[in-house]
Formats: sequence, structure tokens, C-alpha cells
Amino acid sequence: MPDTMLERDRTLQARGEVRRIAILSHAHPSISKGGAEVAAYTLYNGLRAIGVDAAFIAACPIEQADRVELATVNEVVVPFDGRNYDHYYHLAAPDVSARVTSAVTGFAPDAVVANHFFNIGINSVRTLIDRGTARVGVVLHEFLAICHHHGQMVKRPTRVLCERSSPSGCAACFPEASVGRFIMRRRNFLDTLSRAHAVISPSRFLAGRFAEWGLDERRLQVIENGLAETPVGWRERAVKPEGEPWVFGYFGQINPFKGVELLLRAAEQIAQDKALASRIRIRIHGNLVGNTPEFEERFAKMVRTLPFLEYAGAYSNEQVDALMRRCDYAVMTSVWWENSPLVIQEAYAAGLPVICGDIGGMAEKVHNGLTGLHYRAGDHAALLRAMVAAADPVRHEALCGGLPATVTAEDMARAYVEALSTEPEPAAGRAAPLRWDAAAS
Amino acid sequence: MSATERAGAALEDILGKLDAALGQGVQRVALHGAVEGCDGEAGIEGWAVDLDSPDAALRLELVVGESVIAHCHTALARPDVQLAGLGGRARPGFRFSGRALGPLHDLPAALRGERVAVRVSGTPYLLPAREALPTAEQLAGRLPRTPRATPGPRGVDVKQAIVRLEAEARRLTALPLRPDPKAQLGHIELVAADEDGLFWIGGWVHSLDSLEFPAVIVDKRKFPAGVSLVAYQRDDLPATAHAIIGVMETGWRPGPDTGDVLLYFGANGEHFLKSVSPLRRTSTAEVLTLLENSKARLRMGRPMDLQRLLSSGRSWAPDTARLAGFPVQAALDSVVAIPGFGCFVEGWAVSPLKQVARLALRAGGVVMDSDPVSLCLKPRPDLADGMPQMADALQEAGFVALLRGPVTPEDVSDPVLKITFRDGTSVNQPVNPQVMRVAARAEHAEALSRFYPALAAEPFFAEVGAAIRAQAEASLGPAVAVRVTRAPGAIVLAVPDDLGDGSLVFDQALRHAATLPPEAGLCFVIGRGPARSALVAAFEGLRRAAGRPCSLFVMDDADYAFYGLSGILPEIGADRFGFVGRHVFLTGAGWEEMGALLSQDGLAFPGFDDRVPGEIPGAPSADLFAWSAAPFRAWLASAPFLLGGAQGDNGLAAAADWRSAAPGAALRTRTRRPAGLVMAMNAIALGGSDA
Repeated sequence: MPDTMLERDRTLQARGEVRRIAILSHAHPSISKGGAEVAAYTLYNGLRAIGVDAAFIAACPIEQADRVELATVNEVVVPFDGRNYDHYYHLAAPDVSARVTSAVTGFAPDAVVANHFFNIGINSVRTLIDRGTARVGVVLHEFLAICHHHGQMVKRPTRVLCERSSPSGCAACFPEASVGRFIMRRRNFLDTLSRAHAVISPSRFLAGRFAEWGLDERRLQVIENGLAETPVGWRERAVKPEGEPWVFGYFGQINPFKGVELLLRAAEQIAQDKALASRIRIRIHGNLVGNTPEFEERFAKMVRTLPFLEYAGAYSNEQVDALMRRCDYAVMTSVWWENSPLVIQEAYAAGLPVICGDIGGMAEKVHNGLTGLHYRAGDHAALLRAMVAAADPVRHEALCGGLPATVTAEDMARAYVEALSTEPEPAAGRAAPLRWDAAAS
Repeated sequence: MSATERAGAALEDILGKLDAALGQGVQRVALHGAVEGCDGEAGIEGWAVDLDSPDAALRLELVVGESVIAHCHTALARPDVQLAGLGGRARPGFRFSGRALGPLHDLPAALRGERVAVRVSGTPYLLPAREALPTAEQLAGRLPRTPRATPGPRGVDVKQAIVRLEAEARRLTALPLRPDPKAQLGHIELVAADEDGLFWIGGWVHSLDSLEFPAVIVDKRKFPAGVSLVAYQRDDLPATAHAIIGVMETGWRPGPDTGDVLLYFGANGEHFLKSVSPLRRTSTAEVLTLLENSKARLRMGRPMDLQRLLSSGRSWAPDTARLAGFPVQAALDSVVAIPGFGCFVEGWAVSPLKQVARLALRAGGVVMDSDPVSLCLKPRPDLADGMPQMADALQEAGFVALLRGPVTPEDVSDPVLKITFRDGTSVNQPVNPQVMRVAARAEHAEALSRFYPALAAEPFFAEVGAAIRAQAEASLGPAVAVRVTRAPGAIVLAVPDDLGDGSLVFDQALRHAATLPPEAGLCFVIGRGPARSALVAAFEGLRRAAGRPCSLFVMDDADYAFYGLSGILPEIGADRFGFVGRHVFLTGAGWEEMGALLSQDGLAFPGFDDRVPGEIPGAPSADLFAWSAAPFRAWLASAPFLLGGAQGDNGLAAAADWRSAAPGAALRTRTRRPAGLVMAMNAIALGGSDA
């Protein structure tokens, strides 16, 4: 740890700031490995690594409680019956809320990080705020509080990108619900979030959307998620032999929101240009979830018939670094905004520039021309143009040289401690502080 | 003559006189009833019961002098009579339809000045009438004119013949009848009856001299009968024997204790048929099939005449369109029954020769006739694909009508539609039970606009609204206590069925309960929706954490929790209460205000902090008020019952002096203002004002 960071830790400790933190997670990473629970567990490990007493309190479906693997003594599971969970206002049943409160008070923290409210219930978070015995930070992982459509900010049923959350707009997406119900939903979330010590977002974009929605900017903090493990020898890549094809790797779940369809369309165009087809390889990693049979049939057929298109199958978190190092670029094709995709940090850590759409959290994390290339989101022709432009040794070398430092678990933990130890800014109307920048510097 | 023969003759004489006495009947004191209406169009209706046999249907005769004009049985529901303690399981209502009065036109001149009367068959008991009944001539003058140019169905001839033969058979009942085995000519194997007095038999005979004859049925006592049969070949019978199927006019009906039944016939009753044991009772639908099948193996008789009799205006045998003798297709698309009132029907009847004049629907034991004002004919171009040659007929093939009658939702079995055409002919059409619905709730009422887009302007709208409101009130069960903890004052909250909104009610109550006075109780009313179990769990979580009296009630529909208060308040012991309707959520200030109102007197309406479309800002609401239990319950006892459970203030503001309480006390997530038709029905109940 650099001396300056050690000094900051000592300073915080000397000021009597938060040193005992309970982390609430909507799931345990031994059961599922979604971005939110992985980030929560990374924070837990990061806090322990910098000497903070931390507890990890995870909600778990009651039928899976026996499958949870608790790796440390301060990990607690709160089982819940999913049938009694309200997915509209995100209210947990009173008994679940009581168990969450009991688990937190049993640990007696001076701060609580509600790493998502899903499954835990926003009412549980509110109860902890009302008790007033610990500062409560709430972490945003997608737009769930302001968008009932899986928090994606994508309209139903057209999947057009939604620019702004509003009760009437939401009621247009959900005709079965009244405007009044969406007003109540907003009011209920705001009631809790506006009284949290901090609302922490991994991206400026996400924080900005919540500010537009009505959350006081003074509550918002931006802290990037850290990587659970920093790869050894990162960015040490072998020199690419001349004439070798450029490998563009897709990493992530293959579902309709992730837009792999764009890659397939780009591949169709590549197939019509033999010279280009000999210079490019597209390698897709991930599992197929929630796609139409027509898509999956087409996907399989193209993989069979196009020699430059490869499906490498599903992968584990432990494999991702090695798999990425076999690629030259990481490609993101998401047709929704994205928040702060872990795959971008993983790519940076593996030394890969990222090609992504020019919207939302991914555009924020990938600096066009510096750490990767943007294309017009949803436009497969634009994606292909970006890939062709990227297939150039000079550009590749320049982009690799611009990659930022990796945010570690410890970086993330320090930023959280500071956010929870600092009083919110008294003045309203200013931009959210950029904790990610501070952590990465 | 020997002494033995003389003794035998004397005994036969005595037995004959006894039989005659039994057959003619004696004065019965247990008979009660009344003729309540007599009209050429609607017919003659009323009720009759035999207190000695309250479960048995009575056969009634329409008489002019000593001439029997028509028969019918008591078969219509009369809840008022049954509620008065008269009658048993039988339906005591009766009606001689207008069509049944047709023979009045043909009475001899000597009888035309006689008054019509209704008599219980087999007795001299004449039903008293509320008003003096008209003479035969007066009543005949009021009958609708049937075009004489079109002859009636030939089945009517058979009917007249068997009525005449039954009268002739009274003579036979005076004779001694003995079941000499040598005189048995065959067996009765099946019987079938319909409500209009037609009685059908089937079986076989060794030989038969005539197909139409007077007869006597002996089943403990003697019943005269007029019989008309057809005979046909059946493979399981000897070649010389005949299978028979036919119709009888008789007052006999098999009862639960009926054993062997003998049918005597011949000039002096010298032949008889004996019933098989057990005697099979079948449907008129099977009789129709047997008649149809007899045509191919016919030996004697006119099965078509009998089929037409089954399909004639007085019969409810289903599916008679194929026997009508003219091309017709028909179906009902939709039936919405309003219990105790009638049905709205929509359907079609396509015939190139005929036009619909009247409709009637039999459902269970109830017959409903179309309100003459209500019948509406309209084009049905959607049928053109299946009937390419019927373009003209389709122009008025569709119909919509209101059929009035005391239909009950418990008894809508075997529905049959009778379509009567302008020339007096009719067909019966079985109704698919799947198209039948019962209107007992607000959303059902709204659906009636499908039948009449401007239903609220129809002359029968007020009656329809009153009937639906009455049915909704009658079918709404009480608030059932799940857990009761008494409290002198309580806030009663109606919980939405939706898991999200329901969870929010409990969550907010838990959060704000601390602002209430310590002794104040919380009472929740939930419905029976899919989230019921989760909401009970939410209540239990709240009860354990709230530290104050908490009660839970279940209602069939918590939208009507306002009306459930009459039972809830005494059960929880609350003298003072605040009420929060469904989809209403108290704000923090609202909880404090409701808590304060529990210790104040009088009726108070806190204000809303929302702009819900359709709701009047600042207006008092039945979904948010506080009052004392005693005056509220006294007012509610005579307050109108409103569909949907709430409309405006439900009339509360007119019940007592009231004051506005704090504004901004609650928010609504949706409007409680009902849709157009329901609002109009409620407005009538509220005295014509659109509250």
C-alpha cells in the first residue's frame, strides 16, 4: 500500500471515523455471481484488507439457504420467502426486515452499506436509517428504483432507450398500473434514499439519472467498483505477430439487452469481404439466456458456417483474465445504458481496449480514442466501422497505452470509508463528487 | 246369478264407487294459492301449494265453466311464497302463457260469458283471484292476434285430441279395473315430462287397435289420460309386436314412491300396459330422438305431428329447429343473468321466411319472457361467410333483448331459448351454458353496455341497477374476523389485493403507528385475492412489532370494506374510528391527524394530497373519514348500497354536520370513481345526484 494511503487510513482512524461496517447484499456470491453481489463481496474483502471490521449480511432464497458457503466468520445469511417479496415497491416481508435489522444490530456497526435493496427490501434499509445508530449508504447497481422494467431504462414493449423516468412515462410502459401508483413508488423510494447518509453510484451516468429523477445531489457519491483480484502481470502482453488476425472478444451473458445481434449482423457484412474476413476474428464468450429460439438457431448456424466467428461458450470469473489475454479488443454490444460494467475493468486489467456503444455507463468508462472506441449504440454498421478502425497496430498500441489503472478492492474500500465518514455537502445543486477518480489516482 | 257372483258384483260396485270418489277428489283444506295476474299477452299467473304435500308440483287447470281449456304445473320459483313458510322444495309459481289461452277463441257461445278460473286438478279447489277474473270472451278479446292465414303447427291438433280424450277417460275411472294377466298387452318402459303438461311414454305392445284412445293410469289412485302414439319396428321385439312412443294428457306424474303403474285402455278398460320396474325417466330430448328414429321403421302413426308437438310453443324440448318444418338457424352468443330480475341476451336467428317477434329463455325451473320494449334487431354480417345465400335474412338476424323472470344463479341448468316468430311459430334452441354469466358485481354491471350502448337511457335501467345492487349486497358476505383485539378507538384500513400496494399499507402502518395514541388500535380488512396469504403474514409481522391492538378481517371483496364496518366496529369494540379505503395511503401528517381525530367528536373528512383524475379536489370522501361508531352504524343501516363500495362520499356528508380536517393527509394511487354505468346506477340510489 502506498505511503499516502496508509497515511490517509491513519488519519481517518485518528478522526474516529467509521471503522466497523456491515454490508447488506441482495445475494451471496457462493449462490449467484451477478455483478452486484460480486461487488458487495469485493467491498467486504477490501474493507477487511484495510483493517476495517466488516460483516457481510446476504439475503438468500429460503430454499437455497443450505447451499450457501460462508467463507468467513462475519458472514450471515438472511433467508427469505420470495413469494412474500413485493417486486413493485421492493418491500420485504416484515419478518425479513426484522431479521435484517437484527443481524445488523447484532454486529453493532457504525456504518451500513446496503449494496442494493433488492430482496432485502427498501423498507429494511429505511428501518436502519430510522434507527439512527449507524450511517447508512445505499449502493445503486442499475436503475431499479426509478425504472420498474428490470431497472433497465428501456421502454416496454419496444425496447427503445428511455431518456427520463417519470410517473406518466412509466405508466405508459405498464398500462396495468396507474400514474398514481408510480407517483407512490417514486415517493416511497425517495423517502428512503433522500435520508441515506450517502447514495453511492459506480458511474456518473447512473448518479445523474437519479439526480434528474429528484434525488438530492448532495446525497450522491460516485465510487467505482473494484476488481476482486488484480491479475498478476497485467498489461504484459506478447507482441502481436504481423499478419495474425485481430481478435475481438465478447464477454458476458448473451441476452436480448446485451445486443449480440449487432455482432451477428456485423459478421454477415464481414463475410461478404474476404480480405476483411481474413483479418478479423470474433470470439463470443458467455451463456445464452432468455433469447428467442429464432435467435439461438441463427446464432448456431452462423457459428457453424462463418470461420471467423467463434462461440467459446460459458466461462467462470477465474478464467476471464486468461480468455481476455487471447483477444486484442473487448467488444460491448449492449443496447441498454449499462451502469458500470465489470467487464470494462476486467478488460483494462487484461490490457484490452474496449469497443462499446456511445451511451450511458459504458461510454463514460471507455474514453473514446483513449481507452477504446465508441460506435453509435445499436448500429451494427457503426460497430463494424469501429472494428475495422481498431484493426490497426498503431491505433491498438496507442489505445493500450491509454488504459487506466485498475481499481482494486482496497481502493474501493477506502473510498467507501471516506464517503461514509464524510458529512454530506451542505450546498445543493453541485455536481456529484467523483470518488472513482479519487480512488484511481 | 249365484250368491258368489252377486257378492262379487256388489263388491265391484262398492269398489267402483270408492274409486270414483277418489278419482273425483274430495274437498281439500290444505290447498292454498292465488291468481295474481291475468293478461292476454303475459297469460295468467300466480301460485299454488298443497300443504299436505309441499314438495310436490301441482297440476292446474284453466277452466271455463266445467270445460278445461289448458293445463300447467307449478314450476316457477316464488321466493316470496317460500319465505312466507308456504311450500316445500317444489316451486309454487305457475303461468298459463298467452299462447295457452288460444282455445278461448274457439269456445262454444254458451261458455263465452263464463268467467275463467284456475282449479287444482282432481279437486274442486279454485284459486282465489286478487281481482275478479274476466269472462272467456273478455279475455279472448285481449289475446294477441295470430295471423289466421298461416295454419298453426299440426302438433296442436294432437294436443287438442289428447285433451279431448282425457276428458272422455273420466268415464273409465268410474269402472272397476282389474289387472288380469291375460289382458296385459305390453309394457311401458320409459316416461318423460316437460313443464307444460306434456307427458311422454315409450314401450311396446303385442297388438294395438288404435293409436289415439282414452285411458286410465293407476298408480295408487286413478288418473284419466288421453293418449296418442306411433308404432314402429324394433329389433329386440317379436315381429308381431310394436314398439311405441307417444304423448299423454294426464294429471299423473311418477313420484318417488311410485311402484308398478298400469295403463288401462279399451272400451271398458279391458286392456292394460304395465310399467317395467324400475320405470326409466328420461328427457324430452331422447323422446325427440326416438321419434326421429321411428320414421325409418314406422308401422303406424304420424311421428312428425308428435315431433311438432314437442317443438310447439308450449314445449321446452331443446333443439327443435331441425323439426320446425322451415329453415332456421339460431344461437345465443351471450347471456348475462341478473338474479331475481332476468337476463340480457344477445344472439341471432336466421330464417329466410321468418322474423323474430318474441324470445323466452328457460333456465332451470324459471321461464323468462322478453320485455316487448327491449327487443332490438340488427344486422349480422359476420355470419355471411357461413351463410352465403342469406344476405337479406342477415339484415335483421341479430337480436338483443331483456328477458324478465326470477332467475336464480343456483339453478341455470339446461338453458333453452324459445324464439317465437311473427307468424306464431316457434323453435327451441339449446343454449351453451358457457355463454351464461351472472351479473352480481360492479364490473359485470359495466359489461351490460355491450347489449345496449345507451343502457342508462333505457326505460328499464333503474330496475336493472336496483336488481344488480340488490344482488351485489346479498352476495357480499360479512367481514370475517381472523384476529380481534379490542380497542376503544381504531383506524380501519382496507388493504388492496395487490401484493405491492397491500405490503405498502402494512409497511406504512408499521412505520407510523408510533404517532397514534397508545390505546388506539389498527384494524385491517383484506380480500381473498392471490396475495391473501402474504398479506396475512405481513399483518402478523406488523402485529408482533406494533405494540398496540391489531385486528384483521377478511371480506369477499375489500372494496366494500365501508359496508363491512357495521360488523367490524362492534366486534373490535371501537366507539370512535377512522376509515382509510382501498388504494388510499396516509401520509405521515395523515397518520398524526387520524390519531388526533380518534379523540374528537363528530364526522370529519381529512383532505387528500393528490391530483387523481376524476376525483374532485377537496370533496369529502367515503374512503377517508373519521366518525363515531354509533351514529355511523345507525346511518349505514338505511344507507344505499353502492356498487364498487364507494362513490364520492357515499352520502355520508348529508348524514351529519361535518368538518374538513387537515389537508394533505393521504394519497390515492388510483381513482375510486366508478365507470359510467355503475356511476349512473349508484347515482339513482343516492337520490339522483352524481355524488
